[in-house]
Parts: sequence; structure tokens; C-alpha cells
Amino acid sequence: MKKKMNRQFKSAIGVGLIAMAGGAAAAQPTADELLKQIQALRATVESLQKQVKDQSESLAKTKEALPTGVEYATTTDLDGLKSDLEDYKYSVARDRQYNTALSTRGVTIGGTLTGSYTASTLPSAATSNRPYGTPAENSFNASATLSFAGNLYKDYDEGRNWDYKLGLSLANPKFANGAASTNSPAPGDSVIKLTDVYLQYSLVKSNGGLEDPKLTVTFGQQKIPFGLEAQVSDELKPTVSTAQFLGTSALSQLGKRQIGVVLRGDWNPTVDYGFNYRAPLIEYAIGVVNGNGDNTADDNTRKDWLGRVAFTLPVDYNSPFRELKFGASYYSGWKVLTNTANNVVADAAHSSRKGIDIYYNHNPIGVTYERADGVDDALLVPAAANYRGTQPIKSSGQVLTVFYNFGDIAQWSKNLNQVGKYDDFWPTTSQVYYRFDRWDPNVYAAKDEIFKGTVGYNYFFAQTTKLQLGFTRTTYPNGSGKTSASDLTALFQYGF
Amino acid sequence: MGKHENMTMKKTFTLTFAALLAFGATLTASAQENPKVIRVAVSGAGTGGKPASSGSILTTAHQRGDLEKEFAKDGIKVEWTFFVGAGPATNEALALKKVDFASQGDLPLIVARSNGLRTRIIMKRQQFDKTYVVVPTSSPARTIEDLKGKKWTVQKGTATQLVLNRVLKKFGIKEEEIKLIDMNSDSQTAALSTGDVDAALSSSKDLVARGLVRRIYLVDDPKVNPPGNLWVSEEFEAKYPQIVQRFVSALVRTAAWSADEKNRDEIFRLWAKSGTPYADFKEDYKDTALRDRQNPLLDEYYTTFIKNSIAEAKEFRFIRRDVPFEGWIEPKYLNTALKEEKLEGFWDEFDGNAVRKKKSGAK
Repeated sequence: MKKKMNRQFKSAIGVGLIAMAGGAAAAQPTADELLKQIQALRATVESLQKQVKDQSESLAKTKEALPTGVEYATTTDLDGLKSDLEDYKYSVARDRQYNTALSTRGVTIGGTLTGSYTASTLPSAATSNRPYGTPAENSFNASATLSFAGNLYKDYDEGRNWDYKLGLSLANPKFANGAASTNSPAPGDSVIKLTDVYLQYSLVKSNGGLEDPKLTVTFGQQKIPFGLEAQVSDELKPTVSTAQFLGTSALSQLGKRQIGVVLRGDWNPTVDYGFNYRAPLIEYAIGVVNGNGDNTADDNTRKDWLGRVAFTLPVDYNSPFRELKFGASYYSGWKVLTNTANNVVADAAHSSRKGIDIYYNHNPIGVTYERADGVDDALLVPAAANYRGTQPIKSSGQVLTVFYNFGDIAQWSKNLNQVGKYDDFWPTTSQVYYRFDRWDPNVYAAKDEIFKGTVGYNYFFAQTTKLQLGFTRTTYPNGSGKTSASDLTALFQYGF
Repeated sequence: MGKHENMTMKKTFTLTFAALLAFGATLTASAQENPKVIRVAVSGAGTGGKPASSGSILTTAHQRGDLEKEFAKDGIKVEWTFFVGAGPATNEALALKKVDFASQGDLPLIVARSNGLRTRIIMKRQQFDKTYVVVPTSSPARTIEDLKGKKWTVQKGTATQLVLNRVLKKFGIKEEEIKLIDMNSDSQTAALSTGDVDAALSSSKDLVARGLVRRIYLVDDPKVNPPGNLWVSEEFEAKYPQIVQRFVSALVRTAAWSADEKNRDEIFRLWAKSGTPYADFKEDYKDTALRDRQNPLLDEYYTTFIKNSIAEAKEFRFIRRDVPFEGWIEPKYLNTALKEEKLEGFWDEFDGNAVRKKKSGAK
């Protein structure tokens, strides 16, 4: 507006000067003519003055109409903002280039760090030094896991996605004075192992919602779908110790990850969108694996087969029977028998495992029970060379766990664990549990059972951190000649 | 021991027992006078998981600290939770007795009721919201009809799903005639940006401003967009009715402040803390009165809408069982608050078709 005024004013002056100059160049103007010119100039100046006055009044009125205290941005202000924005864009680009970890595919990095302390009234190693008054065995331990998981292909049309996971675990030997096996590092060293290493593909449409049935195929090294505890990842285990039947000298195929192909699916899910609740009526899995454990090639030419089916009551979220599940599992495989006389492979013997399980997790209470029975062909006379006669050894394990949660309970719920927060989210949940664990390594042998009763307390704080305390009493049948033992374990684990 | 002694002992025992009972009862009564904490859940969080939300009387009260001020004098803490999982997450919190008051959309509210969760609706949070059907900028779609057979995305189980069903029904499209993909809001944004889905409902302007989507249809129908609900758990109400009254009264004061046009700018600034730009609210509320939008009344419009939503939830097979309506809406706290605050007649009532019944007479 101001510019326009200036232009008009300059034009008027210009016209006047040109008129005067023109006149001078031609002939001397008369007094009347000069008077007219002056009057014309005066009229122009007055008109311009009126315009200036009107515009000033209009501006004053505009200012009055606006709220008090309002400040106006000027071109300079906007330029400053643009400059800040450009600085920010540069800073983001530079940080991304030099200070940000990049990956070729989307990846989620996770892991756990665990520190633990164990004290036992019985030594686990033959040469335990035991100063007077101390427990027979007590040791601090540390371990860690690291995982990379993500999506290799995201199918927006039907959700037939390709996913991957790579897991690593790091642990030091449990006891510094423990006898080293062929796979164990020397005392003082650590061992890094691959845990989960697999690709997973969804064979059916999976992006329609919770009511879609699922079917995936997983290739690679993975936990196997047998029973309950064998499938649970470490960070979700309620107890410090694992069930005895999953131990290395028990039904060992079940407690290890296996290398192979497993098909997992479900059918007819009960969906309660009001709670994001999904409970498939039938879950099933079938797989073929090496059967020789993780990070190990097969030791025989036959593959191991496994299958599982589970039935969950088709009830709504708010039913008292929510998450009541019954499952049955089967595993059939082969393992190499080696005689102890000359360490020669005598035969590939058959092993089978049958399991049943019941799972009831109705927050805040939960009960799980599982039983696994094994039949393993074993050499009748292991110490005899060139002898291949075998006999079946039957073994059996049972585990009952009862737990009760109280506190925020957020850690057990995806819904409650995802809340808006400026700062860190530290929900706290307590869990008390009792576990009874019976393991009979040879059903035909008398008085060889091992009973473990554990009472424990778990304290979960933050979203991924837990402190676990467990007191276990191990007992044997009367007349077995074995001494009962007590163990105390404290474990602190935080996830990231 | 003589008979007299025996009688005396019995008497003493009876008196002691009675005294203990009375003491226990007193303790119980005093323990239930006031809770230590009032747990308020908001079904949703701000951009990037900010513990903030926008657009309602409750969220304004959160930003202004109105409830905290009301209960501070009694040492009662107000604990806010903003569930990223929206309404379904709030339902789980209620089932686990982790929440006392909550705001929710109509679908999760109805599903919870059909599942036996006990709540009482105590006031409306807001009404007459607007939303848009958006498509990727490169999409050739110009009308809703063009999106028949295409990939739509919505977060299932939320009130938005019911809005989508209503929009489709309005255009004579059945759910089976589109491909419906279940995604949370962040995934929806990513999929719309890359053109991997064809349409979604969105009230936010950020993707429009970035040139990633186009708005092709404004959903500005008060019979399609649900009013906001606010409930108290029946358990909490039974224990602490006086707290419920104070809670509602405080929010009615907030609602009155929110209805004042001179606070329009400040309200939008408060809501913008949730991450939704100030300009979005400015545009959304253009040519509409704050008093109409920030209206707490449980009027005919509200009750009709909820009844219709129940019928629709059944029609679209979100629920199988009936939803008992009788006794669900409890207006006594709101009515008392309006009387106490001298705000009777302050807000207009609307009929079942969202038509103004009575011009308000501000006091």
C-alpha cells in the first residue's frame, strides 16, 4: 500500500515537472497558466494526502480489531524460520549419514542381559573347594542374548510376509572349575552361540484381521512346538530353572533348538475385538528336523518328525474359561548309539516322546501342567564292542506350575504395556509361584526319581526387566541313597 | 470356673467382638471415604506416543490440570494412562480393574458391555466430529464409489471401524465388496504414503499438507461420527459416589470454559500439545461453535446414537449378545453438576436426528 502511494506521488511530481519543463522549452507561460499548473499540483498533493490519511485510519482500525498482545510475523521472521528448517533438515541428513546405524532391511534389535547367583547345599563339581561355613556351591554367573528380527517382504495385498530372526547367546561357563566338555570353552572364555536362525513365510492371507486363520512355515534353527515350556523364550519364563525333562541328560531333543522345517497354523479363532483377544479353536504344528540339536549337523540319515495339536475353549475374553487350552505333542526320531568300549557307532536307535499339557492363564492367576514321556532304545551292554542289542528305556517327567500376578500386570499384556509416555515407562508387577517337577529317568528302575519343589517370587519392573528369586528343594525316594539338597537362585535380567 | 465367671467371659467376649466389628466397620468406612488415586484412561495417545490427546472436555481438563486441582486438597492423586491400543486396551484395563474413569469410542464401549464389563456413562466428552476419506495422491479415485473393491485400512475394534461401516452403508457398499486391512494408525500412515493401500479414514491434515494424500470425502454427519463417551466403573461408583460427583462437576466447569469462544485459541493450543497441528483444529472447528462441540449433555441425540450403535454393532457382527441399555447411562451426576454450577440450559440439547431442540440460554 505504501509502495503504491509512493508511486502515485512520484507520478504526480513527474507530471508537474514535465509540464513545467515542456513549457520552458517552448514559450514563457502566462501567469494564469502558471496559476492553473500550481492549482493542479495542489489538487494532486491534497488527493494524495487524503489517501495517506484514509489508509492510516484504516490501518489503525485494523489494529484495534485484532486481539491485544498479538504479534505479527514479518518477512524477516519467516526467513529466520526457513533458515532454522533448513538447518534442521541438514542436521537430520548428516546425523543419518554419520551417526545413525543403518540396515538394508527393517530390523528390530533386542536382547537380554542376565546376572545370577546360585547357592546350593550340594556341590555340582567333584573338586569343589568349600571353606567352612559356606554353601557347597555358590557362584555368580552372567549371560546375554542378542536378536535381530524383521521383515524381508511385506505383502500389503494379503499379508503373505517373509520375516526373519537371528539370535545370539553369550554365556560364560557355569563353574570356573567345571570339567570342560568338547564344546565348552576354557575357563575364563566366553562362548557365543547362534540361537534362533530362521526365515518365516506366511502361507495364507494374514492382514485381514484377527479372525484370519494363520499358517506359517519356518525354515532354520528354532524352538520346537512340543508342550509348553520348550516353546517359551527365556525372557518369558516364569521360573529360573527349566523343567527337568527338558534338561540336557533327559528328553534332550525337546529342550534344544532344532534345525529343520516347521509348519505352524491355527483354525477357527474366537475373536473379541473389544479386547484384541484371539483364541484359535485349534492350533497345530508339524515339522521335520535333524534332531541333533542346535548348531550341529545331523548324525544320522533319518530325520525326526514332530507334531502338536492344541484346543482352546471358544469363549469370550471375559469368560472365566478364557485361555484354557489342552495340548498334545508327539516327537519321533533317531539318535546314534555309541558303545563305550571303542567309541564306535553301534546303531541308530529310535526315540519317541509323547506329551500332554494344560494351560490356563486367566490374569491374574495361572496354572500350567505338562507331562512328557520318552522311550529311547539304548544298548543293552554299552561297554561291549560290536554288540548291537538294544532295550527300550522309558522315562517320564511332569511339571505343575501355579502362579499369581499382582500389581500393574502390564508386562503380561500387549494392550497395557503400550501407553503414551514422555519419560520411561516403569510398570511393576509381582508374581508368586509354586512349581512341582518330577523326573523319572528310567521308569523300570526303582527309586531313581528326582523331585523338585520350588517356591519363587518374580518382580517385573520397567517394561522388560525382572528380578527372580527361587528356592528349590530337591528330594529323592527313600532308600535311593541320595542326599536331598536345597538351592537358592537369584536372577536379574533386563531386556532391551 | 463358676457359672458367673463363665457368663462374664461370654459377655466380655461378645462386647470385645462387637467392638472389634464396630472398629473394623469404622476403618472400612473411613478407608472407603476417598481413594488414594483416581485412575483415568484415555483410549489413544498423541503423535509418537505422547501422553496427551485432544478434542474433548476430558483432554482439555488433562492439559489444564483441572482434575488434579479439584482433588489436590484431599491428597488424591489423578493418574492418567494413554493407551496406544485405544478402546480395546482400555477394556482390558477395566477387566483387570486397572481403571476407574475412561473415555472411549462407541464400538469398544459396546463390545465391553456385551461382555459383561460394568460401566456407567456419566457424560459426553464431545460431539459432531469430522473426518475424511483419504486416498494416496496418485490414486485416480474421485468418489467413494470409485473405491469399491479397493484396499481400505482401519484399526479393527475401534470406533473408526464402525464409522467406516456407516460410510460404506451410506454409499450402498458392503464390507465384503472392499478389501479391509487391519492396521494401527502409524501403519496406516506409512501404507497411505507409499500407496500400498487405497483408502482410509483420517481427520489429520498432516499427510495432506505433505502432499501424500488427497481428501475425497468429508464425513460431517453427526449420525455417522460418534459422540465421545466418558464412563466410570460401576465398582468405583458404588464405593465413591461423592468422588464421581466431584469428578463430573470439575469436568462440567472445564466444559463451560471450553464453550467460551474467547478461549478458542487457547483450547487449540492446548490440544496441539498432543502432536496434532494447531491448524487442524482451526480448520476442523471453522464455522462451528465450541459450545455445540464441547457439549457434555446426555441428551436425546446421545442416547439415540448409542442405541443405534448397539444395533449396528450387531448388524455388522461385532457382538453376538444383547447389550443391556437400561441403567447404563447415569445422568444424575451431570444434572447435579449443572445445577450446582448454575449451568442448566447453558448447552443446547439435540434430538435423535442431531437437530437442535432448544436454543441455549447462557447464564
